Amino acid sequence: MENFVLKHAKEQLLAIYHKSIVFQFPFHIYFELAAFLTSVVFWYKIKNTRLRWFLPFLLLIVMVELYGKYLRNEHKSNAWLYNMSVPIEYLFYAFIFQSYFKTKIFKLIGQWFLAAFSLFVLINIFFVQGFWHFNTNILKAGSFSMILFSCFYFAELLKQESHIRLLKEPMFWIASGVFLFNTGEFVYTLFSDYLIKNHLDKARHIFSSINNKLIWVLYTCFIISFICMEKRRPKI
Amino acid sequence: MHGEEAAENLKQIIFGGTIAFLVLAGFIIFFSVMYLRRKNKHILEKKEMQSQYEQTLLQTQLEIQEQTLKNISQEIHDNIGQALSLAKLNLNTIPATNDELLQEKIINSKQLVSKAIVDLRDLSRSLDTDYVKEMGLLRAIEYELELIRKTGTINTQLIADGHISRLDKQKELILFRIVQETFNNIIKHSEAKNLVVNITYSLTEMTLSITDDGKGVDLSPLNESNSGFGLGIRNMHNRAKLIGADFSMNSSTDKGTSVKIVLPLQSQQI
Repeated sequence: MENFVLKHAKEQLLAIYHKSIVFQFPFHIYFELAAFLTSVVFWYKIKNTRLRWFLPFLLLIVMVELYGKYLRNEHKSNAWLYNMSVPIEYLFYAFIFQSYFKTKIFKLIGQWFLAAFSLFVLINIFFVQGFWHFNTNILKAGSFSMILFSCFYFAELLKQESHIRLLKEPMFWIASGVFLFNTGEFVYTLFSDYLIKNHLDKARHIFSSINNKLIWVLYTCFIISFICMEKRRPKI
Repeated sequence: MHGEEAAENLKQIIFGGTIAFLVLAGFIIFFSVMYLRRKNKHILEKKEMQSQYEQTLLQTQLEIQEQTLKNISQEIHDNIGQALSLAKLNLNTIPATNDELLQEKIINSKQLVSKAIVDLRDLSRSLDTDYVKEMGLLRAIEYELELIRKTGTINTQLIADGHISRLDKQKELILFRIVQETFNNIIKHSEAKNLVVNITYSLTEMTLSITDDGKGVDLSPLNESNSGFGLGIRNMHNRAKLIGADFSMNSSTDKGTSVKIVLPLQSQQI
């Protein structure tokens, strides 16, 4: 009898534990939230740099994730939400990259990408994949472009003739995070259409298990970039 | 069953491919970091060598300059000084005459030659490296101020504070040349009425400041790295750097100029 009571109490506690608000959110959201809070705490360092745009961007990401989670809990599709937020993410990273590029051709490619990718997103949403289904074409093009931009950044870094303190260079951490995230996601995006078409990742378990862990890496890199950066004079 | 196996295979391909791509990306980042570290080390070594080269060059220039000044000083003392002394002696040996005009001319000439001898002796002392080294920085500056004061255009004041001690002779000489250059600038350009030199010795550093109440100078062109402006000031700055001292200059229009040199007393080596 005593064992039964104990077992019952333990089950009850576990149920409460699982239902508690903390564990209702996937773990990766905490990384995004932590990155946003870090950008708030270190606002005094980033406010005069290009990185100041990370604060509203990260706020948007956190809000999208929370609303996406809410829609999932309500058993509603959240694909339309990510069809809007994912292009914004790519455009944002491209904007940051192109503003850091010093080589004329890289800068030009970055600026052209911003215009061309925006057009591509609109065409894909309105004429190709639609608004209500997850736009894998955007994911493919975006991932590939981000890998390319990260490589451009590293190429510029290797060519640089002046002394730089790499670990104190925020863009190095950001580029590393973006590079690892998109390289990791690239293989999945290559197969994404096939997987969706053949219902092989219907619950998107494969995508989530890869994507969520890569989010840890990406946002950890953002956090490090804010913490490590040295306070600078206004640049732009 | 066959479909499930294919799905499982595909899943493994995706996970395997993802890991392989991540390892590749990690390697690229690692390679970049290592390459940049090596490059940074090389840049620092190059900078260090450049700095050493510049210091050696500057030191050699200073040594040559000091040698030249010493030669001029000796030339003044031994030849021109001697010639003037002989001229004065000759003037003294001219027999007295009734011609008042001639007598007055002889007296005037004697006074002029005497003044020239005194001035040249002062100049010779100022230029002579050994003499400055012997006198010490404080005494040498006092002597220079005395010469300036004698001109009657600028009031001078020397304030020494703290435990006064002798520095390395080479450092004292370089400091003295900086002070001399500053005095020259004040005399030539400042139109100052007052000149104050303040030397403070503490346990860790010696602070030397020279302040005038002249018309001041606009220092903003100095911030432009490729400007030819302020060669003398840059020169003083380089000299101070050579002995590990910090050189700074402040000035504003009609409010005078102040030069400050802070020399750490820990390392007495050049």
